[in-house]
Amino acid sequence: MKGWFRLFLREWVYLCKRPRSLVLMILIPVFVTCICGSSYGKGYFSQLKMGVVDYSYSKQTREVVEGFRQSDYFDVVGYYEDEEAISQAMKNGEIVGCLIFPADFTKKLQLGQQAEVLLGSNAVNMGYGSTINLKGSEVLGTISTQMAVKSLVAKGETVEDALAAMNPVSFYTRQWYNPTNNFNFFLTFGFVIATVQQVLIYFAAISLAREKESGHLAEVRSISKNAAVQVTVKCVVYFIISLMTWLICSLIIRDIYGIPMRGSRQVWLAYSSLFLLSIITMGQFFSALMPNPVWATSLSLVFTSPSLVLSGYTWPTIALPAFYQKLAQVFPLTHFVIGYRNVALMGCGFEAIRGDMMLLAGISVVCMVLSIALWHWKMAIWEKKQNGETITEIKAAEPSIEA
Amino acid sequence: MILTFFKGFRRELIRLLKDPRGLFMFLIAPIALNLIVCGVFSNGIVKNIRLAAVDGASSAKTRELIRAFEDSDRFIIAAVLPEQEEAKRMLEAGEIEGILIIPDGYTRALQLRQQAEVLVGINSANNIVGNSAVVSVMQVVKTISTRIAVKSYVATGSTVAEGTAKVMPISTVLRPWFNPQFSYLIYLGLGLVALIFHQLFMLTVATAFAEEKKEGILTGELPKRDCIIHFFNKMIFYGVTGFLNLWLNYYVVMRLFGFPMRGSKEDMLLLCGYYLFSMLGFGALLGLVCKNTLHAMQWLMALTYPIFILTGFSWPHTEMPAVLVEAAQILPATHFLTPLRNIVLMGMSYDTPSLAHARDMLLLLGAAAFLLSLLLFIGKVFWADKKKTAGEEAVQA
Repeated sequence: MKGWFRLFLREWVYLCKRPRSLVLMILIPVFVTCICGSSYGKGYFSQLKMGVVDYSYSKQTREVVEGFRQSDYFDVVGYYEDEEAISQAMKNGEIVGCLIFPADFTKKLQLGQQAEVLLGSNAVNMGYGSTINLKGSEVLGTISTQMAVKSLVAKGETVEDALAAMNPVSFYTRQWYNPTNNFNFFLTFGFVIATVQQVLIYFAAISLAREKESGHLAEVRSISKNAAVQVTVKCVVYFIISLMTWLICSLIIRDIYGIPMRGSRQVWLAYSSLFLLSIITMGQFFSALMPNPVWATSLSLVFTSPSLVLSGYTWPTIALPAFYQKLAQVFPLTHFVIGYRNVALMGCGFEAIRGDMMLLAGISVVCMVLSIALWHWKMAIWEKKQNGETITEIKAAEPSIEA
Repeated sequence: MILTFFKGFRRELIRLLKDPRGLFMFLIAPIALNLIVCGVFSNGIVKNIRLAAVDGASSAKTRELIRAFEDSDRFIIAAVLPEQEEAKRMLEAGEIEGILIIPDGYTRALQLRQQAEVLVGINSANNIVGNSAVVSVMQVVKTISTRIAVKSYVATGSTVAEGTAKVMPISTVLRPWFNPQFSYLIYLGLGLVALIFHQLFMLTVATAFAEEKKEGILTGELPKRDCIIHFFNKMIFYGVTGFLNLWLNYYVVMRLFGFPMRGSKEDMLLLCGYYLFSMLGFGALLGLVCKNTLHAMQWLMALTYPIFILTGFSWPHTEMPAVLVEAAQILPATHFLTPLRNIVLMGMSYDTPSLAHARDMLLLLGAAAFLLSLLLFIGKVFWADKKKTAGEEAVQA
């Protein structure tokens, strides 16, 4: 136990002597939290610049355009001559969407035929595209129903009857847990957690390998010869630092950027702890496995790069090809990032995340055991080598003593 | 001088070939990671959104509605339940993404020719799922509603076209420009390739410079003039190989995943060249400023996500605070990710002011970083030489 505490203190002294590392471990995630919170602070798209091509300029087309003007989501910037001009305006960044009324639009309406309107969006950025499709369809649907209802009301029906005749099934969509479709709610957790992962796995990956690289193995061995102690001490130190960092980030996310945390503190603590442990132990496994810190961190960098994309956090798991769904299971991030968002936004409890927690615990245990075993083996080889060198030195010294 | 130049070039090549880690990070990792990342988005759109239907008025009409959802390729009706509680539990457990609630009075309202209501609740914690689901729900319910209304008109002697025109005088045709499949792969793929390459290429260049501090040209062993030649050697070597590598990455990804090429290839290659030039400068700067390879890697790992967010590639600059938009201007990725997508998908050329601006910014940033790194390099060469001379004098003394 004394050895454990001495190693624990030694690790803290090492970090305190290199405040840059400590600062990076804490400040980088906090910095990313602020960048995310501020960048996505507006939350949703609004005042999307729309152009209009009206080949059938009339009272009816102006009515539709007015409907768009009155929506907070759109800003009708002007009329364009044709689709070519619209395309150019999109390229110049003047507009991100458009309304195109064909030449027969008004005539068709007057003849009691169905008229078409084209709702275009610059889908190069899907954020624009999906918002224009969604909100534009709503506006056009409302105007269409209004026109249909008006014609029946003019014939003497009540508005209610007219509505029932023209739109017999109405629907309400309720967007649970993120009612305003806020991108800050959607993305911030993911980017911050992924950054915590990146920083943490980096430090964990060099934690063991650096002892060998810097020639401090003898010092470590003099404090404790037990590989399990050496590995767990480092694990605990990094766990404490990362938990504090994650706590600061979580508080900033909740209190400064107003993103809800509906889950309980116990769930936050238990779930976060398991995730952080799994990342640290995985980093230590790379550290024990690789010949030096550069190799260990390179492997971590390559390993963690696709983890957020594969986790299903932004692009949902249901849309991933089957192979990628399986591949994603090896990343601890997959078992935390979506679950954590569900805890925060939906208020899920242990019941909902039990499976993920079990997997994180499994990854932690397997990586911990493997890193201890590997480290023990490497230490044994090192000791053997050291003993061999000592014997050679003694043997080399013997003849001169005899002489 | 020419001999020194070629010797230096050979030296760089041998160094890279002898370093399996460096070779892996520079040549294999970018293409492997890009294939994985683009493969993730290969389905393009979100289909098979799982819904539970809570049918409070089980009848032929409600079954027709549920069937309409099943027939749409966007939805899967995972369960039809009598109560909301079980559906809510399934939603929280992640077994479904939404609930279609058909109230008790649905069938009766339709029979009495009153307006019937349905409620669709979607888990919008993921905006991509939320938006896709809401647009598709709108289409499915609208179709059903129109069909019912048109039927009643047809029953009174109207034609289907007349009935449709009465019920829905305006129909909407959605047209996503430049990305007609509305594919997320087309939207994100090109930028993610650039970002992955950015990280690994910068790391390679930074490593090439940082390693020289150990036992290379920044230890005072070589004449000063040769050192400067070696600087240009490195830049040319990594510039040429990096450009070919970036081109290879884009070629493979665009071919394999069917990206359209609406702009000119020359414009794209030029932009790649400018981007690479600025990355070379920044990579060298990073390698010279950082103590060693590990420190350079530390910064690159830590700054991956801020760089991606600030570029405005996914969340556009128009929706960001001005101060962050200003800060983003010093990142080469800002002037590459979106402009490249605009060339490939929108067919933009350098006549477009935004693209010309991106080109100028990349050149400006590249030149500034290149000059700074050269000055820093010269400073380090002189400092290493001074240190070596001082050491020799101390030994002599």
